Amino acid sequence: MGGVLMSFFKKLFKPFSTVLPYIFKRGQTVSYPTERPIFAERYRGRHKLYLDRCISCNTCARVCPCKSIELVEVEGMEGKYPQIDFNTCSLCGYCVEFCPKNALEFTDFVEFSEYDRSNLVYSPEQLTEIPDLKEVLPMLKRRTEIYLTETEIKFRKVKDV
Amino acid sequence: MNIVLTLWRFIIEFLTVNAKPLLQIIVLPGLLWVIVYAIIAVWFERKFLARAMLRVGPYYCGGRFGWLQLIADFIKLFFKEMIIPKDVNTFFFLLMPVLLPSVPAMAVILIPFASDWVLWNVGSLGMPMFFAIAGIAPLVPIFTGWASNNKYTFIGAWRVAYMYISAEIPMVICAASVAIMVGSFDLVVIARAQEKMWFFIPQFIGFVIFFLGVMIESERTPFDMPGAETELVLGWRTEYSGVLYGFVMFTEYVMLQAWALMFLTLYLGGFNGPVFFGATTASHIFWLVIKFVLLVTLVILLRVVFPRLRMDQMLKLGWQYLTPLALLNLVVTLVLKLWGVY
Repeated sequence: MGGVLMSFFKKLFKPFSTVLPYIFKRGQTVSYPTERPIFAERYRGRHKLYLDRCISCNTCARVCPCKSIELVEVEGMEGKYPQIDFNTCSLCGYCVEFCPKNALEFTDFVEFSEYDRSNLVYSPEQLTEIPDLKEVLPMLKRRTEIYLTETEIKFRKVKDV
Repeated sequence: MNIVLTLWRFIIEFLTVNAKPLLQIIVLPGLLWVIVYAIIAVWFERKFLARAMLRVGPYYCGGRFGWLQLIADFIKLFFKEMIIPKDVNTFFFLLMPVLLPSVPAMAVILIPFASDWVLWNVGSLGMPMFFAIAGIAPLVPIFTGWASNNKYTFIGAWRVAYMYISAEIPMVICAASVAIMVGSFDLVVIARAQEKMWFFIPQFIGFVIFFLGVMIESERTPFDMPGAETELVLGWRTEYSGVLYGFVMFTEYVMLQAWALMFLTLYLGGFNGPVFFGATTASHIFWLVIKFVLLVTLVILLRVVFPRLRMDQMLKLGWQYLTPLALLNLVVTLVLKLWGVY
């Protein structure tokens, strides 16, 4: 009888021990655009192309499940190079994984929204360069870093930009 | 010229003679208290709930604290269209949002904020008056749910009826035990009798029952079955939009205020507390407000922590657990009173 009563009260008051520490923390919300998360190393953001490594083997275009890659001519260079259409690209990673020369790689750049759909078709020259974060997000002040403790995922604000 | 002068003198005399009741009506515990409390409570609830859920709450509107957010919401409600569906009972549909906050507000003005600061001083009829108003209180949501001509609202109205009846009977019995202990129904006398010892110590069963009753009667989670958002859209409040929606949402806080103030007066010492600098009235009001703020914080915290109870679980709680405990409390109080302990 006493055991049942004790376990009832323990069940009643245990949620408080979880919730009360949360009240005194700031919260896990990332106030974009003043803050931006620091993504993981293998995060799949926009592609970056290395033109000197590409051998125009057409593997990326053949393996793309969304048929977003097409090899096109580039002025001043021989051969054809990949043009990625980000309207349909699902950032799955097959082109990066199967490229024999590692000419395509992922970055953590995600701010490439456009007002016009035709601007989302990136030519090979556009794929080679990634804009600086300070130009795209001038109001950025802090970064949020995700780290693991033994029991949970936690967020930490880091002040470097 | 003479008429203007007499009119002016009449107005000045009216204001000075009735200064205290006017202050009570307009500021505390009248219009401004209820409205300002509702505004601050909405902001506090949103921020507090967000913090407990590891979010931030309203942030951008009003200088990183978000206090202008609810004024913005309130003004937005005025600009929205008031949709009145064709097949509703228009008379009740439009009448109920006016009655909904008014009925609990009538109960708020019965509570003594200090020994001499009662807006509606009914003397020794204080407690029966409060529970008479509390008896009318379930009827208003029931009419609202029926008048909206909607399956969801009708089910919400029935749930309101079940829930309120199951909670009110134990609460009235516990309040009657307190009245037996004190020997009077007058709320001022009950509050003043707690100067030495607050009543939650001799009446701890009644304390728990009344606290649960406060949460049930104000339809707070975990007892917000009639307005369960995931099941009934918004229960008996579904069909309201625009300013009517504002009234209906406002009423949740007024109901909590009425029941919480009654709970404080009966069990937690009402306005009693240490007096500052000999200003008894002001410090009594201050202590009641502080206790009220802490109680509202606890009720909001309980919303975060506990999930919603099912209808049958809530009725089981009301009828199988609370009512026998309330009767036990009454019997114990009677026995102790007859033996002369109180």
